[in-house]
Amino acid sequence: VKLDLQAILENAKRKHEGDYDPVALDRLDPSRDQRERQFEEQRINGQAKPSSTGLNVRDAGDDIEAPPPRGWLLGNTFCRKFLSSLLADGGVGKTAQRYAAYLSLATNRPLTGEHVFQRARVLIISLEDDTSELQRRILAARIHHDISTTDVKEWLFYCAPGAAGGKLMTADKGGRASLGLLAANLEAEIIGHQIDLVGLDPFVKTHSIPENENSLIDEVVQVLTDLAAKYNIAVDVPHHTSKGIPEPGNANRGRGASSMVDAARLVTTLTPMSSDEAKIFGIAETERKQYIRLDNGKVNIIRGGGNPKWFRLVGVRLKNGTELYPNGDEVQTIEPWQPPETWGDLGNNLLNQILTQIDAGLPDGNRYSDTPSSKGRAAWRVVTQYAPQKTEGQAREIIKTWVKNGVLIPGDYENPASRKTVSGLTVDHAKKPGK
Amino acid sequence: MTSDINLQTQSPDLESRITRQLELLALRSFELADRVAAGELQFLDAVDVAFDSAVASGLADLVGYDVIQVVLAATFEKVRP
Repeated sequence: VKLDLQAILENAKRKHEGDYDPVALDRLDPSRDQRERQFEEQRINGQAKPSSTGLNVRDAGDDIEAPPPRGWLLGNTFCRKFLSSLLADGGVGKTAQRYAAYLSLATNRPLTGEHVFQRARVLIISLEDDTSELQRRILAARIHHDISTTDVKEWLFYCAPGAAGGKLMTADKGGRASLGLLAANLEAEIIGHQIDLVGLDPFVKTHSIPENENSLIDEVVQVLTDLAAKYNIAVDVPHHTSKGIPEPGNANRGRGASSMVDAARLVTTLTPMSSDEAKIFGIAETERKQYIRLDNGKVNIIRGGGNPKWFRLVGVRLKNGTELYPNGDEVQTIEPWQPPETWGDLGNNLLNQILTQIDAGLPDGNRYSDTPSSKGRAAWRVVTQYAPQKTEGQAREIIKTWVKNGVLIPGDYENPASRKTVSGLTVDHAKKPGK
Repeated sequence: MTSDINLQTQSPDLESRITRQLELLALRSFELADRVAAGELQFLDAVDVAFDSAVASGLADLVGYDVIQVVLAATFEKVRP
């Protein structure tokens, strides 16, 4: 067969430059079916390689270049295309913590101590508070962190639609779920304001599905994850925890069906300071609930663990007094808080002096002890003797760590005065610091 | 510019079918080149799409990869970086 390529190309060019309808191309080409057109569009969007099933199965051998990095927005908390959630009991400071995080993104300032990867447009949808309360919460954070209205103009949007906003999903009497008004409204606002992060607070109010129905809750979450993927945005849904003892970092404490927490990739928990922690940090029992810790509950896409992030709740006067209410309101916000370091300022020399003293024992021949009832033989007192800046809680923590690590070895001995067998501490010299 | 193609089967309709498919490939490539010019697509991505389309439709196997290259070179000439 002899082909005149020149003629073919000229003919195509003439048609292309003339009165030619590109849509007709598909009709003209019978070999080009629906799947091929889909594939072409997917290739253009960088989504897929050829596939005969529509599953977009890819050959890993073709992945010569690394995929683009994940679109992190704030620390390990918010990421484009991912669903985040913060689990906490009511009244712990969930909303205060989240609003500070949203303001970090909107102002490009690390107000929560987390790195802001890129400034982002934020939409807060409060389904719990009315507009005035929402404004008070935002204002409290703005006053405390010295943020002006121009700093957030066109970067932070909010609404408190109440019932008028609808739900993401609703269930009819037959238990069938259907898409609600909120989903469409949300999509329109995301497009209209070019939103990068949507915060829906709280999750339980975004739907009217029975909250223990895993399969239905899964559909609600799917609406959010689809939005995140479609518009390349981060979605955050703070969530109440179930009743029980607060346990930092336990993502399984989310209220209702577990499918919500399962679907959210970036889950953190917020917990008030415990009595034990307050003793270690030297915080009065009456003040400990002003300190809250943020733990990675279930971070599916990064390595978990790590130290908790601490925040302090701060009451902020809004200066909105009137004749009737001259003092105006005081509303909470948060600021990062650094707990005192138990070990930070103790060098090896000092630590070894403490251990030598503990090993030598008391002048009456008794040994020091790590038991809570030891009183006069308490080993933690040796720590405060050499490091008077340490609180009792910190000193106890140091002894506890040494016992746990085998530096201090509890063992029985005979009390030289009473001749009774009691427990006391000796030092494993091979494990002393610097050995 | 002419091209000799060795075919296993000498079907009377084959020449016109190949001509039509090549013309369609050229037309589609012109369209993709327009999108490159408009900044909607990267040059290499657009060429890949056209090339893969020629492969997927069986045209490349029929006429050979050199012919496909000639068509793509001509149609993307104006937007080549």
